[in-house]
Amino acid sequence: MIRTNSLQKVYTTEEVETTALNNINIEIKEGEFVAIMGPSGCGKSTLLNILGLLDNPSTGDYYILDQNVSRYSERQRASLRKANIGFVFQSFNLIDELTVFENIELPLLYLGKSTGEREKMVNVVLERMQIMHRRNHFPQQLSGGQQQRVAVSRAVVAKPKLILADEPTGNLDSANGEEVMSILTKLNEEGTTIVMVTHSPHDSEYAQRVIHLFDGHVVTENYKEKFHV
Amino acid sequence: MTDICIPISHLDDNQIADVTVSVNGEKKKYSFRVEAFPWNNLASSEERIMVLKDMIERYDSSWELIQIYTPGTSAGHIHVLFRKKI
Repeated sequence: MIRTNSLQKVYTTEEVETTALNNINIEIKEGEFVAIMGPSGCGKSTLLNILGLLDNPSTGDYYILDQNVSRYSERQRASLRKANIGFVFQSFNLIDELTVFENIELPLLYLGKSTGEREKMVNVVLERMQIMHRRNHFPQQLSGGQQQRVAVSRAVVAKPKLILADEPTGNLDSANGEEVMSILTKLNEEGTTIVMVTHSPHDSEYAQRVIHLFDGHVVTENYKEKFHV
Repeated sequence: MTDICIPISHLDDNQIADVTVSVNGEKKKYSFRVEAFPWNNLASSEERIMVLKDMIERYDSSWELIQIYTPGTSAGHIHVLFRKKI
């Protein structure tokens, strides 16, 4: 599903050139749950942004769904992104002015779904995530755990092939974090490919494979022994 | 919740922390090691990563890598946490 070839990302200012990612060669198969792990500043989020088509690499190739998207324009990337990728962020990234229902509905609006289809698809997800009773609330009226459940709902409502999660439990207490990880695990069991960036060894235990990044390089990758009980 | 945090004080070099957990009467034993690998702050990022990669790849295969810690700016070592495979 995903393959990178000598991927590099360099940020240049007038005075300094910073290599955020260097010679990244990874492959992620459909249906995998992969964690990308490493300390702050190691390039995890930069890599996730490129994998999620939010940014282009400086050099190297990035293939997703058998297309080399390395030189795609913003318009081409957006079109591929909205049809295939769902995002979950640490800080939820919900729109405060929109209700729970409207936040979850957003990706469907971008896909041009009809009002009836949108209503049906959002309600299915609201039921599934057990937040139907919150559909008319605004994000500020919800707990952190509920907000992340809304964010996951928004990520999955259009049934994407791939979910990219950037520190999804970073702003949650352990109970709510556990719940979000269980939801991601369930989605993966149903066939969704999940790539999750984390600095938490605990969260990485949910993945089948962990890619360790350090200083913009892949240091190693290992398949996990099932640990959590 | 599946985390149990156990502060272990005064763990010397070359020691292994063994943890036995009982879940519904079933005992599970976990062993952890923190290794200190050499970290040359004067070398280039590529060189340091090559050394670290090599150390991890050649490490006893009955242990799995759990976490690489961030070394201090002038540290001569980088700490890496391993757990014995079950």
